[in-house]
Amino acid sequence: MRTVGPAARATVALGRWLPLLIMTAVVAAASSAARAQDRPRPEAASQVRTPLQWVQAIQQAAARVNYSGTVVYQAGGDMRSSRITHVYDGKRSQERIQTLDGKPREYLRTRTDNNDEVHCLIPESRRIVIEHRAVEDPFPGLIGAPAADILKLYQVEAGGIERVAGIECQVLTFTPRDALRYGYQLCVEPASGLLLKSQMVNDRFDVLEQVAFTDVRIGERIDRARLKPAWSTEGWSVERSDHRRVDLAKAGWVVPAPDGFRRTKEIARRMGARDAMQVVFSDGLATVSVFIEPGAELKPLTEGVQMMGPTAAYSRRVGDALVTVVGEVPPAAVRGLAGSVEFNGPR
Amino acid sequence: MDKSAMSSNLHPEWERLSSLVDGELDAEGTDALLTALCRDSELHGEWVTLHIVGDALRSSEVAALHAPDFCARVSAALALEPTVLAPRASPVRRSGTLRRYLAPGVAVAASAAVIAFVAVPLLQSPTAVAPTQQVAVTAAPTSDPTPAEVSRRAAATVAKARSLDVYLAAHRELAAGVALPRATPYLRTPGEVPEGR
Amino acid sequence: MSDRDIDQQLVERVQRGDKAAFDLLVSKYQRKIFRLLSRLIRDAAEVEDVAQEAFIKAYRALPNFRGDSAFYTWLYRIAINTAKNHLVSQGRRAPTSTETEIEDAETFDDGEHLRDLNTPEAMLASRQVADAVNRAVERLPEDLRTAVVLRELEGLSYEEIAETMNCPIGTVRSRIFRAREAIAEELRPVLSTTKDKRW
Repeated sequence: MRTVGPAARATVALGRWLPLLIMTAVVAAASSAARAQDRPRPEAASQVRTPLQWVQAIQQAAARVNYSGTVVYQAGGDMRSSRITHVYDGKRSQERIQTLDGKPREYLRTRTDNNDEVHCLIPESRRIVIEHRAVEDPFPGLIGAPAADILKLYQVEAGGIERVAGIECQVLTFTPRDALRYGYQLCVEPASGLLLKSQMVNDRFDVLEQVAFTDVRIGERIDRARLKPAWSTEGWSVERSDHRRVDLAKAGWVVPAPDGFRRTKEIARRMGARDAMQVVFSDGLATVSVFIEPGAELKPLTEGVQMMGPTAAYSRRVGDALVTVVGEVPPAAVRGLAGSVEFNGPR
Repeated sequence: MDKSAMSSNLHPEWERLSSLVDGELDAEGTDALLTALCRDSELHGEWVTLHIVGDALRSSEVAALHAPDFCARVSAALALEPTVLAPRASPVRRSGTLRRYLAPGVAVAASAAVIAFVAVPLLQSPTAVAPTQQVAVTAAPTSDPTPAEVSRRAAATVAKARSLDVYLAAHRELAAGVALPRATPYLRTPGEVPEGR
Repeated sequence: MSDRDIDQQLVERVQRGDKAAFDLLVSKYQRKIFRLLSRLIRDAAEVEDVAQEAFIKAYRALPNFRGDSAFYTWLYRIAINTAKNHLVSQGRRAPTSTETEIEDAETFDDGEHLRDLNTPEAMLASRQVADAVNRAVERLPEDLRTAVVLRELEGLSYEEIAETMNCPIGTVRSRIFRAREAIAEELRPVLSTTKDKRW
């Protein structure tokens, strides 16, 4: 005998976040109670893009669009939040990430055409660790891999509309074309192309991992003061990351790239208290690392592939070295890659 | 009367749900039915029915206050909330069944992989707290191991998990991730200390 | 296992990230929370808004719920506090009934105590539900009626009912279920807004 008035319904939909978009009109309040539904809406449909164009838009937006907001990462039992601010001035892209839980950390990143540097701030030991990312990246200027390559590996389709952080987004599904990688569901803000939510899913559509904005402002002018860290770093020690490029082939190691993946890094480094070589492969969305530790005394993990949340890991001995493969890919892919590593002796 | 008899034939689940609501369904059945409830809207409708009837029998005033759209409305508001996750203390085993792990936002799907929750007490070492607290062991054949076997594996794999963390941190530091904040690796492991020279 | 264990299981599912499990708790306790709030807030639409706020607050606070008390007890506290804060923010005070009075009211069943229902509409609704329930229960065959009354009003377990009625537990389960379905049939036209809609 009771009725729910329209006014009551409207107060629900506005939620806590009122993003200030200058590029799109906020699609407000009109929808009735809905979870993610496949309902095409006229506003989003006006952003008609081919799958290729969608991927390109996402890649561009990550580097080119100003945004600031809170991102929550969830996987397994873990949930971590960070605040992110990103500013692009036409030449240089700057980013600041602050952890909101766990140990306090800030990551300050600067990217230009020639350079890509990350400063990691560790307040409890008053250290700054600087890492230079490879400019010789196989995908310079791009995020991940060329969009066309990504489409060869994943079938990309536009789905319905989903609300993320109070903003109506286009859902894009990435269905893997082989068993070497997982699928993804992305929610993209149509006007800017900014990715607001990403879910990694297996073939049963279990969500293995999710990253999503819970609040975000897109496209506004952002005061550069907001890129400054929370702490004064005067007197802090500055260190360079110890990663050194190596030539594994010269050392006799054969580490073939899995189908569709490209090598993005090949370094020697310290890992905890040990020395190791690490090769990183990426297909644009997924990443796998191969660690080689010659003479390591550790026993391999013989129980098969280990899963830690979204990440699979597998170890085996090759000669006197321990080879460990770790990545956000299906367990069989990790095992297969480990199996393909060979040592032929130094040249 | 006939109608009621028909209902139970057409919807055998509903009678089980009626037991569940009274707390009279076995642990495994309850677990499975609760999972199904979260996904099946017809079953959900029956859940509502059962509770309205109970309310009505005890208080017509309470039952009369039923608002049909209210649940959907709260559900919509809930969808906008960040998913809460409570830190787990030591997991409680209920009559030998294993807890299924629920991925965020998705009801659990039956899985061939066994997920063993590793309780810190198993290690008997107060300093051995791995940030990655649950480790799943996927065996090549898909039979479910016995609880005792799972315990044994879990204890073994926790020790390994400690060394796995090092690899994980090193991997995540360099992982490209998806194009959503390129710094996704940092999001994956805040608080990891990168090594410097 | 008991009714409280079901709540606890649902809570644990929510605490592991399953939002849909929370929906089940909402649909279970919606009406009782409405009644509680309507002791403090007159306007029906406002009751719904505050109820929603209370449920969302409960959801957010769920990581802190340890199962020391029953879920409903904990939810009840949150609802009361939400209502009080709401009234304060509107510059109003809660009506003079103290919390103990509210708690007493919670345990009253039924029609004789209509004093707190202040709108004719609410009183009529309650009367209609009471009539429908009475009709339905009177029409039940005696064994179904006995089983459902012993369960819902006396709180006996299936085993206890089986002993009382001298029949197998399976029969008890079946009778209770069929009784509930029959009562639901009578109630549906009274509580649904449209004929097709199920609640």
